[in-house]
Amino acid sequence: MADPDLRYKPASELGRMIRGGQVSSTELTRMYLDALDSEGRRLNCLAELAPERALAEAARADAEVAAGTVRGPLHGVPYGVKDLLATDGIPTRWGSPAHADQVFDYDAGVVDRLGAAGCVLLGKLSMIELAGGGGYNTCAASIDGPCLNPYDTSRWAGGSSSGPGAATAAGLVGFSIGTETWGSILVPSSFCNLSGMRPTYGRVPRHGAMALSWTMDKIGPMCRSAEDCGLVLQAIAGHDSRDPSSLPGGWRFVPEAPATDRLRIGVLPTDFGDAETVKGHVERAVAELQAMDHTLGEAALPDYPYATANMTLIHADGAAAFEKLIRSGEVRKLVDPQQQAGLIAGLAVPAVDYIKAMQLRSVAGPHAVRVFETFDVLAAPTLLKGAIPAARPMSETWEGMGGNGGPNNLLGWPSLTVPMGSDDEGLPVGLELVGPPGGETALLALGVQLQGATDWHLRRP
Amino acid sequence: MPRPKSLSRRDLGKALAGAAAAAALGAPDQTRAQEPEPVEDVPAMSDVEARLDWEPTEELREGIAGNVEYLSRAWADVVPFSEGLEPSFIFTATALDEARRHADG
Repeated sequence: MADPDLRYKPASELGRMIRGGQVSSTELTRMYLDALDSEGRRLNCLAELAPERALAEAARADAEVAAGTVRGPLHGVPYGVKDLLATDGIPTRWGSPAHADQVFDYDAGVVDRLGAAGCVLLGKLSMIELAGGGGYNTCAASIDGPCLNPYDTSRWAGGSSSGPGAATAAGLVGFSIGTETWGSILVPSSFCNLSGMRPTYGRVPRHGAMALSWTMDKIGPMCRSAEDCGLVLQAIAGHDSRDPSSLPGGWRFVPEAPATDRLRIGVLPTDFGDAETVKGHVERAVAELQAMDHTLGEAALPDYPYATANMTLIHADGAAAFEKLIRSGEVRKLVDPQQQAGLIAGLAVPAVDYIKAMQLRSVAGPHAVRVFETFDVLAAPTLLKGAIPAARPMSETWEGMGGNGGPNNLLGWPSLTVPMGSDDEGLPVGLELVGPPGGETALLALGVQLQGATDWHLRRP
Repeated sequence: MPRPKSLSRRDLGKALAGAAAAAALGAPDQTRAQEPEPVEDVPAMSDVEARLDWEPTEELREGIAGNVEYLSRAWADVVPFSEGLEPSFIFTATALDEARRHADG
């Protein structure tokens, strides 16, 4: 197993290699455990390593392969989860110094499902404390310190799913699981040259996940290819009676089907400012899609105060979810004073404003979704810049970053970000593909097709 | 969802104008850098403090007040989106309702 490329291979290929006997799950697990223990600690992307559990799960996976039993395409593939998901007996700190001793005695539903799919849990990956619910101003707002970007370790890996971003990009896991309330899968995926999917709200059940905002939290895959995102989503999606907010039924990955049709792609208007290089990348990426016979047009979403509603919901939900922490004063243990102040201030969100934010969904949702009568998929730059410096306050570095997460997160729409090149400083940037609720299949098929014709996703740190 | 921290409430206003509730992607343009009011004059601040079993430091109080001010004004400049709705308009509350409606076709 001397192949230095092995650790960077997509999960789909690792699964094929395990099934074909070219490598064992145990060999892969040892390789990734070593890498996490060394590079993972240097990047601050590791929250907790779980070697005993990982090696036991890998041994079971290998024994099953030897006996002719394969649970699915990800059988034996090692992975990591954001430290926001409960894991039996392994500390789950939510990135927060105030939860340093927290240990659950059960696995989150997603971890259960990945185990049932034959995957091997390597450990927990770092995150911004409490998923950044109060707002944060420093990349170091985590019990694990600032998570560094493997493409440039003076830069940040993104947040709040920082560890999944860095670890997956650096080849320290086969794939990872992140979560998003407002940007937390897409931002680190874009910063770290990953394919990352924020599924439709309710697609992936949230049993065992830290609650920040009940009507906005989503769980999704962060991977080295769009195909991997589809395979992982297939493993974790579907109703779970322990999460009444989960969508009914399951979900099946069909990589080719819709992309064999001509899709109508609507390009969202973007003020690129001085991000000319990124503008060129978007033009190149959509030209690739056009060359695949998809049609292009200009799309626009109706103007509503999406971001105001998001902010209201997250602050009020966050203050309710963490009221005990706030009331007791434990909130003062958080690293970032902005987190402390923001969470506490959430107690003051007027009920009228909260209702207004909820009501906006009823008004804007049916209106905005009509864009999908004209287009199957929307496209836009995920962000206008690559990773920001890890050591500087975000108030100085985030300006002009752009992004489309406001309406998509408020309305529960799915998005896939895929790599599309680098910014002027050589840092990765992504293309966001957005679909209507339930539209993951077309997004993933388009991502797979794009990655079949381009090599942006194959770049390594 | 990073957001500039409110070391001073004047800076918070400025930062929000530019970094735009920062990684709060697509956040609104909050062009309201202005002199902060005394903490005591921030509506709802006393309600917040009444809910705490502890006393914040002066610096944290400033930060809380900045955020409270910001949140309380968040909808002030928003063009009413519900004008024209029937008084009996019934709203469904969550993104789940929307997702479910579409998932069900």
